[in-house]
Amino acid sequence: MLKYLFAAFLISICLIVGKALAHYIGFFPGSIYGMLLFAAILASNIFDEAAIGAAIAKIINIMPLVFLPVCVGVIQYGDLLQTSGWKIVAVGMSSTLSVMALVAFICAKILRDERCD
Amino acid sequence: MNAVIEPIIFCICSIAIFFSWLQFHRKFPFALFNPLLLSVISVVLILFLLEIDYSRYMTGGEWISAFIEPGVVALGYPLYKQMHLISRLWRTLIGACCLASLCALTINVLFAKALGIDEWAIRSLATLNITTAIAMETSAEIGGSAALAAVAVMIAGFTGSAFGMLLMSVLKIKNMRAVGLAFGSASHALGAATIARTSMEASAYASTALILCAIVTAIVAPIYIPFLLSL
Repeated sequence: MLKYLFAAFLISICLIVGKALAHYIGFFPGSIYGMLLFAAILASNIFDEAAIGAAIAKIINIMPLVFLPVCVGVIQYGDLLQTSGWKIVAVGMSSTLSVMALVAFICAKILRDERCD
Repeated sequence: MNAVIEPIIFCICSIAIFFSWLQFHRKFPFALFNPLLLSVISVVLILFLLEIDYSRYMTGGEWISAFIEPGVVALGYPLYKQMHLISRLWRTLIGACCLASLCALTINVLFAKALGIDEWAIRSLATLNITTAIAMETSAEIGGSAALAAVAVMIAGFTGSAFGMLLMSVLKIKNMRAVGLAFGSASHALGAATIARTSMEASAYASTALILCAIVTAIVAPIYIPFLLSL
């Protein structure tokens, strides 16, 4: 339980600092600054990553829950989905497959020459 | 009294529905049984059948939504876990993710424009190739709808999960690192989860790509999307 509380505390601090940075610097949303700060803190070894790692992994596992209420908001766009739903699916599928093909093709060529242990 | 109890009921029901589908997905781990998708369908059906307004539902739903921002911050953990990979291959990874991000934004916006989709809807679905949390934040920032962005993100996830491996075999891509980067940069966490069943090495590359692409898109989208829309 303490691990979860500590992870929540650390995340909250990063978010508060991130929001302050977003307010003064702008450019990114505060949560993105918070995410980068959180990664930097973990990398700096100030805290024992093993202590909070398992707790954060579990939090990330159930994270889709926090998107549920906003996703339900799609019922407000019934008209749009009826008229343009197939177009949105067409855009999504074509860009996903194109990006996938392009990245795989180029990276296969680059990574073949790159040394990797 | 109702004003106090109703939001609590909405909140508890949403959590219960999500965890039920999460358990179901653990037993039947297919991409189509995505717990978020099934939960959204369930809640929408319940609201529809009981004739409950979305704004009424959100009196309780907003308590759950308050955790979206901390959720984005928590993504710093997978970013940290992949730092050894990023530091070793940073040129290739950043190059690939910049390319993927720009390519995805360009195709999404221009194709959607060509099909005559409304501009606000284009702003919502432009970020569909990145992870839900950051796609929602970014699309809201550029004037789109977070709800529509989240739905569009699922299309990319399902497309990659369902057709990704077929596409790789058609293109004869056997390098699993390249396959991982392709899955992560085009179909985010769902793609990374799909490829994890085939190769753990590809999965690490996919996780790295999904985080880096999300960061690149969050930086580029507020400038690049208005430019594409003005063309």
